[in-house]
Amino acid sequence: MSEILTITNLSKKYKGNDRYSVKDLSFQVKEGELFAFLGPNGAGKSTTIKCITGALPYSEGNIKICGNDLHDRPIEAKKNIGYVPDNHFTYDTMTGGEYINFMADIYGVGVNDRKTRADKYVELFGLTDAIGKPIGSYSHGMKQKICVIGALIHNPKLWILDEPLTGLDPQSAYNLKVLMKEHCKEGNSVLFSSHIIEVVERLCDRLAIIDKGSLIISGSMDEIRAKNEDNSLEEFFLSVTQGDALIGDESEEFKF
Amino acid sequence: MTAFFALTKQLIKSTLKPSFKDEKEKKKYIGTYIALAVCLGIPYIIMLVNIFGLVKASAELGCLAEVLSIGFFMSQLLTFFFGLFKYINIMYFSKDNEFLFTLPLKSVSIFWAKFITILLYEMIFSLLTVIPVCIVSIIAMATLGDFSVGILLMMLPATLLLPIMAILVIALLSFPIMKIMQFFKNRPILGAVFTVIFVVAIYVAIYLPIVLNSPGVDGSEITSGAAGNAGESVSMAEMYAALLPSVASIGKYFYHTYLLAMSMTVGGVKAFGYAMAFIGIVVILAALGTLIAMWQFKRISQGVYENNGATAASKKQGEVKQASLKKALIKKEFSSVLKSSNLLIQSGMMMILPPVLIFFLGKMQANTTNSFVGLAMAELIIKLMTSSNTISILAVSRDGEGALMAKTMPISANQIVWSKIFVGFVFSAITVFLSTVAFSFIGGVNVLQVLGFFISNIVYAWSVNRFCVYRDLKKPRVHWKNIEEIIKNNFSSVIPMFLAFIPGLLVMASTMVYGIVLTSLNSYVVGAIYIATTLVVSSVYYLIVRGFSKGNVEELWDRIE
Repeated sequence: MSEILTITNLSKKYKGNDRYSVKDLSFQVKEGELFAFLGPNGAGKSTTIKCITGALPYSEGNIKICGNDLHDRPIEAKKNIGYVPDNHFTYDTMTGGEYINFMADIYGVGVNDRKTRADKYVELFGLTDAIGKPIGSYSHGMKQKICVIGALIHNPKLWILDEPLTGLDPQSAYNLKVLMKEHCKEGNSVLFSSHIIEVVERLCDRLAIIDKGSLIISGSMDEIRAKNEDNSLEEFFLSVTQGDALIGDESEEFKF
Repeated sequence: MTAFFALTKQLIKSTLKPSFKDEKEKKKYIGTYIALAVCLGIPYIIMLVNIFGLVKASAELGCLAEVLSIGFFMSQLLTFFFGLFKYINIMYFSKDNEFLFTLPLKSVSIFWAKFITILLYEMIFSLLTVIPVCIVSIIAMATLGDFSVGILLMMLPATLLLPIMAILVIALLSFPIMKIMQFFKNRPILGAVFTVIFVVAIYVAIYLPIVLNSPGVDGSEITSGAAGNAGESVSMAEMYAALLPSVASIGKYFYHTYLLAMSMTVGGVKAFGYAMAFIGIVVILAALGTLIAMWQFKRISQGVYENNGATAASKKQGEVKQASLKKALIKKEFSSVLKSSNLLIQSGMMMILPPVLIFFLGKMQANTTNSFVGLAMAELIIKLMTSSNTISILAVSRDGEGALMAKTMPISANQIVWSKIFVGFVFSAITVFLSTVAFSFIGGVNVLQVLGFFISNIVYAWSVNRFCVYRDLKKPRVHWKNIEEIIKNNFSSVIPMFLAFIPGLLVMASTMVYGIVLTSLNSYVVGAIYIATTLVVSSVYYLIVRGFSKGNVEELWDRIE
């Protein structure tokens, strides 16, 4: 399997901050892989994702998407990405349909392809009645759905989602998970961040755990289970990220 | 459609096209605009009639190019004034930047799409100022038997090119402004203070040479020069004859607009030469300016949202102090204002610019005409600026979803709203005080005029802040993630400012009448009449505003969702 995303020694320090938000991070996402990025709040997941998508500049390291270095060939690299940000940014004055068309224009998607894909996803997410209305009138979950459609309209090689399940109703969350799996089956890859361990455990092929900007561990679920000596992923996660250990340390009776 | 055109089209649409939730909102919006057009249409027509007379007189006196040059420069100043923060907000503070940089677009494409959007926005204002003035000038010239082909030919290029120059200046000035804001990202007050000082310094740099170079004409010379004896009423033609040549000479100092004006007035091959010189200057400046602006765009934009991700912890430990409810609410309001650098800068600009403008424009008028013209201008400036107090315009919206939280607290909405009006008023009162000080230094004004200016504008400041807070309370926008979103797309600021034209123009017109017609009276008597008039206008405005903003505060607050 060829590598869709290769991150080598990525470091990111925000302007005016002394400490690194991401430090010396390296991992790969391979073709057809559903890769999860797990970490507690403030671990550096969103920062890493923003560096990969080109939203944030990074100080050290390399990011390659489908063989294109993000620094040297940013347009070629970004053409392979579909990104669903955690803030679900869209233009509120646009209707859902206009937004999908806009994204298709940006990625140069032909009329037939955009129509086929838009119809499929709009129906899947139950947005048929809302597609002609301004996005400003959408609920949080509907905005999330329209962002997902916008990110998939060009059938990207690498689909990146930052905290994708937050705010979705159970049916839409299920549909999204199915879509993520289908996208990988078609030979593409998915990278998503989450701090919901159960979702990660059930969904992903491989995962990376990140804490305080550094990679703690990465590997397939089987590899991590093997290292984990029969503990659950949750127990393993808590033991390696330390941040939440205080409660356990100080109040033994609250352990469960 | 190519990606660049798709983006440009979208940005233009989202910036210029209003969106409505329903038909009711659309009808209300159109109704407001019609009402505004009617309100503004009358003074606008009066202004055009005056321009007609001015153009005719200046053509007869041989100073048409100078007068047109001043007019074009004023149009550029308007573009600069209204465009500065529009440019910074769209270019750097726009929440779509983070999204756009993830798309397969060159940062140059994003820059140009945004630049074209800003340019189109400013050209709308330019259309409203340059085209009508040119048409009126052509008609005025035609009545003198001179069909001015130059004005007709250069009318459209002038409309397109004048805002470009103003926006380029803005583009270049935006770097140091953004640098200051980013340097003081954790100290918004310092950042705002330095930014305001920087922008004010630019204004001083523009006006100081003009004031120093403007010719001195004593007010009494106007009447005596025109009619022979002071105190006799003078016709407009006589007044123009006495005033215009000296006032118009300032127009020569604005070299670029003077070239444009010459291209419209001289005729023949020379006109072509002047036109080419003007267009050449704009093209060269445009090329240089956009190159520099493009070079810095991505770095500065990314720096803005990087700052949002890196919040340094305050070293100051929370102090435990008890305060009364009123004090606690006022403290909370001040704290929310002082923590947003963009809000602070906009309010700071509105606080500091009026005294600067009043001083320089007043001084220019006092030099060239008489102090009453300066006073009249000061009245209009202060009324327009205090009406643009973003702190009150966004009084409820800037609380965000905190406004919903406040609904769960055992506090009367009246108390919250009062504290919001009070805090907005404090900022406006500082503006009024500083403007009064500046006004007292323009020369030729007496203590009664100064007192009248201060008291009437304090009353006006309270009224306008009350009006703005109530307007926001009726329809706040509380769902935002970043306060820049509501500061940027802030249509609400336009209405109080437009409404301010009414009392502003009323006081301005009456003041001009005193200055010109009542010159035979003792200046203190005129000052007393001025106090009475301005107080009446401000009080009537207060009563009207009170009537408009009555409503049940508790009920309105309860409706926020």
